[in-house]
Amino acid sequence: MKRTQASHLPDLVANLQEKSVLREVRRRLGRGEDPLQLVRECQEGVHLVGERYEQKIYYISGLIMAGEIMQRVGSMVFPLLEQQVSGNKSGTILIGTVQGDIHHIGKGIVTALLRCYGFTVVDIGVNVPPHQFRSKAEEIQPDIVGLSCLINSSYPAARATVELLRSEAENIGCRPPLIIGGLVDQRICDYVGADAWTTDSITGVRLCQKFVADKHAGSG
Amino acid sequence: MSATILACKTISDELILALQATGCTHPVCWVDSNLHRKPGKLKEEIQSIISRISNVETIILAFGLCGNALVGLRSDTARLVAPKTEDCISLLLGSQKRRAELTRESASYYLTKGWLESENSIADEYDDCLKRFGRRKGRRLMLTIFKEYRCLSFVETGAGDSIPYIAKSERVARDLGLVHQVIEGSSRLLEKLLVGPWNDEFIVVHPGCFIELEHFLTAASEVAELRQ
Repeated sequence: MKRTQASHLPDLVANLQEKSVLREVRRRLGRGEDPLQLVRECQEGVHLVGERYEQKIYYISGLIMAGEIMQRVGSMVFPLLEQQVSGNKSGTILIGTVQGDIHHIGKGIVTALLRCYGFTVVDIGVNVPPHQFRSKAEEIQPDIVGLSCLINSSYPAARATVELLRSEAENIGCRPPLIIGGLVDQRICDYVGADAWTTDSITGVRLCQKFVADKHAGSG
Repeated sequence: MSATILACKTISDELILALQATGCTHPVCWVDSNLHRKPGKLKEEIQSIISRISNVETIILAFGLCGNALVGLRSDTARLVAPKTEDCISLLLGSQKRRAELTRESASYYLTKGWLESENSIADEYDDCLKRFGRRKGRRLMLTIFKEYRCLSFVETGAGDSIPYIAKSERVARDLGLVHQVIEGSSRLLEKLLVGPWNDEFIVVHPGCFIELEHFLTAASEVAELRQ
């Protein structure tokens, strides 16, 4: 069958054609194609959705739809990824939106992508005070903690969370890298005291992969 | 004092009213509200305008922090004055403190006449969503956006005829099962921005100095309180 531009997976995602995306993913998995390659192509589509949002072609609902498509792709792909990637190579990520902020859409998109790549993501919701991050970190011993902060009035809470996790590291039993995501940059990362920052989900996934790889390289 | 005002088009009605109320005659340069989708572009645009102004002592920025768009701005020749508010909603509510109090009462999404007139309007998003995805999926996506909100609050600033806009926001609230409320706005902070005094509710930076993120942020002691 001649492949048209419409069947190109990134374009299907970018056009938010959910059923066509799932059909195409199912078809190519059936042909034995690499699930991670399919995830990468879908990621490319998610990136295009982001561009179209900035170009005012899509509204926020377009971003959410892209996140939902990734979640569904993840559900199809993850069981196959589990066979390729053992649990401790992907890692566990604790994620939440910091106190004073109730935004969740970007967090949802990056969570969907991370799960596609085999990460275990524990999402503790929005408006999360520092002590709740601390107690959850102690409970699950995450490899990475992600703090979502979209509004500038939440930066002090992000800083308080980082300070608590750092000062209590010995009692918590771990000192995972801390990543902030949202409307952030290096200046805000320095203020908060985090180890890294990201404004998009794809960079967020790469950062998590790097931190986990560094951890395993260090302990190997 | 010679001054120019740079202002977001979203608050044009309120600013015009405040200019009349205060008798302020500084010229106003309007900035497109659609730049909010890309705060980096908004900052570039504001800086570009600032850089072209050379004949005034003061440039008044009628913006909230708005995605950190004000951080890093600088004028070589004029001092910059901006309200210490998260966004224009806090400005139109009269203070950041009032915004924080209202937020503590309930999680609310705020609307104004100016926002509903803009291309970024939630009402336009709602209609686009239903048209693009169909009623069932469209409504579900909109409910996802509003998942953490309990209220949709229209800020009545008294600027312009707000009745059709209140009706629009009521419709969206009703369809999404949100509590709709009309909250009285206040021109207090906006008028103070125009004529002073510029106390600790404002950022004032001298010529050659940058507006810094720290100008907007909480003192270290308040950070420590959040950790408890």
